Amino acid sequence: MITADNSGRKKIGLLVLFTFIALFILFTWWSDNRQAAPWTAEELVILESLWLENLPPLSQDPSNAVADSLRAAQFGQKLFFDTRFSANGQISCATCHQPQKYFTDGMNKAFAIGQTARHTPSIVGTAYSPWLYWDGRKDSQWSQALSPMEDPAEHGGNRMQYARLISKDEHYRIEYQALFGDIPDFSDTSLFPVNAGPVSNLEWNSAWQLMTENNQDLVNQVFANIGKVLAAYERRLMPSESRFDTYVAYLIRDNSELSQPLLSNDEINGLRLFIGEARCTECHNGPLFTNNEFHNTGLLPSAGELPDQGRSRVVQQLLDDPFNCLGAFSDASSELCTELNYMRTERTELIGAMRTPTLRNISNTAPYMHKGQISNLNEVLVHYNEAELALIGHNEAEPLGLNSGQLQQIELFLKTLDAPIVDSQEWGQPPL
Amino acid sequence: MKKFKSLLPQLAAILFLVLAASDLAAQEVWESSSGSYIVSYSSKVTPIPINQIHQWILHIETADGEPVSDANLELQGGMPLHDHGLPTNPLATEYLGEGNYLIEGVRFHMMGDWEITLEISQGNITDTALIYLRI
Repeated sequence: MITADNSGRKKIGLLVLFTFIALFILFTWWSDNRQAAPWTAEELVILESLWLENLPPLSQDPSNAVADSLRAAQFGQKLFFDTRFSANGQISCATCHQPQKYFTDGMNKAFAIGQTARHTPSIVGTAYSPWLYWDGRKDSQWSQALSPMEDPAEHGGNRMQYARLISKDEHYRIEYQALFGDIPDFSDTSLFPVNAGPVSNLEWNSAWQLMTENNQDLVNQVFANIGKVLAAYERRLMPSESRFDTYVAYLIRDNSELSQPLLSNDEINGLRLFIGEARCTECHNGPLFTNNEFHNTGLLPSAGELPDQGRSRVVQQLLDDPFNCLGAFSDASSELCTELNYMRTERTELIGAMRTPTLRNISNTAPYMHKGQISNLNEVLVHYNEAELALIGHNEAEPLGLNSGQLQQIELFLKTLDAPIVDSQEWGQPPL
Repeated sequence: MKKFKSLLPQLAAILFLVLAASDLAAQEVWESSSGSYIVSYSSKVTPIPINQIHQWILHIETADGEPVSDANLELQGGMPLHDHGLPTNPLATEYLGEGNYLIEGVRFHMMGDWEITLEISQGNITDTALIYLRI
């Protein structure tokens, strides 16, 4: 039986409960929206280290003599968008590296001629990386550019086909000769078959094996030079100043009052977490928000797949690669190949480790991770916040204990890193 | 207040000295575990950058201050707090004389506390020195 007394107590109880809830909501709102505290000297040092203005000038690529040639870059841009460099005449580099998506494709795993094994990473800023690909199995942009061209799931063609295309296309031949001198005469198909290359296609592979070593090298040289002009183009794809950079510029130049309206309090709080409690700058550091190194962060494989061995599997492959910095097609003297010469070869720690990607324009490059396993930024942040045990190797990340509001603030901050590429009118579209 | 103002130059001088002393403290020397060697290092790029491969000079002398020549050096390192090693495999590539060794292939990929283990062998003596540094 409910007495009047009991019902009154119940009402008071409910009132107290609702007051508490209201106060809690108010407190959360207040703590999220109060004026962000000023930066400490230590925090300012970190902010400055992330500022695009502090990106050092791009050092030379000694393995690529035409890396900084404008003519090579313009030639490379043409090849980048030319679908004739494929088995079916429909695939170019831009099929997966789409300029409007910051040179990614929006898919979990890239799909060109067929289904590839990994997610398409952005190219922007990768000229600064000593290693290319998620697992870093290439040591230069030019060497990287060669692999997809012969991968049956990507461009699917062969180096003989591509070398011949350069020699037969009048414009390409002129450009090639201006940069590299004479191009060999590939017209005799008894010496230079229509299709040949050390690829998985058995017919093309046996045609390649029947060629003389000398003729193979003539083709290899043209093939390597195709990579070098593509790299000269890719080298110019750089991020431009984002809202975050303008904010830091004002802070550093002591115009704090001007910086105030540039980022919202939530974004500033997200930034503070990013460089502090959330520990993001341990790997996403420097003006490109990446250390370009390899880390196991406990990512699960895609459904139905075995875990990816990552960096640990490619160390020997790098050393054996005929198109590496020490190889016959590199323009570098061996002592200049510092990264390869002092490459870490001990593998245990590299199990399941993948290269840290840039966070510039990260909100434009979903989905995320090496298999595109994670569809949005919030889930990425939840993944790092929980930091569960890795299936293989050791997860370097540790649980962060952040709440969902804090994760949202970090996500809002990440969106302040959006900006077009430098000279996007010139380099961010097919050549005229 | 006036008195305080007149003290300002002295205070500034003291502050300067303290800062200078702390800078000197950064030029630390490290004794090997059994005390056979004294080690110091200098980076060819200062301050030591992150994400940039660079060279170091390691200076090794005996406890009596005699330069150690032609020693065999093995370097390893990492971040104990993060339980991971160096991103590269740095090597001693040249003996420069007067106890100085050129170390190539040094790179750090995170800010924070690093530890370098240096194994020094010369003749029959092998000893290990630990170098701590904050990037």
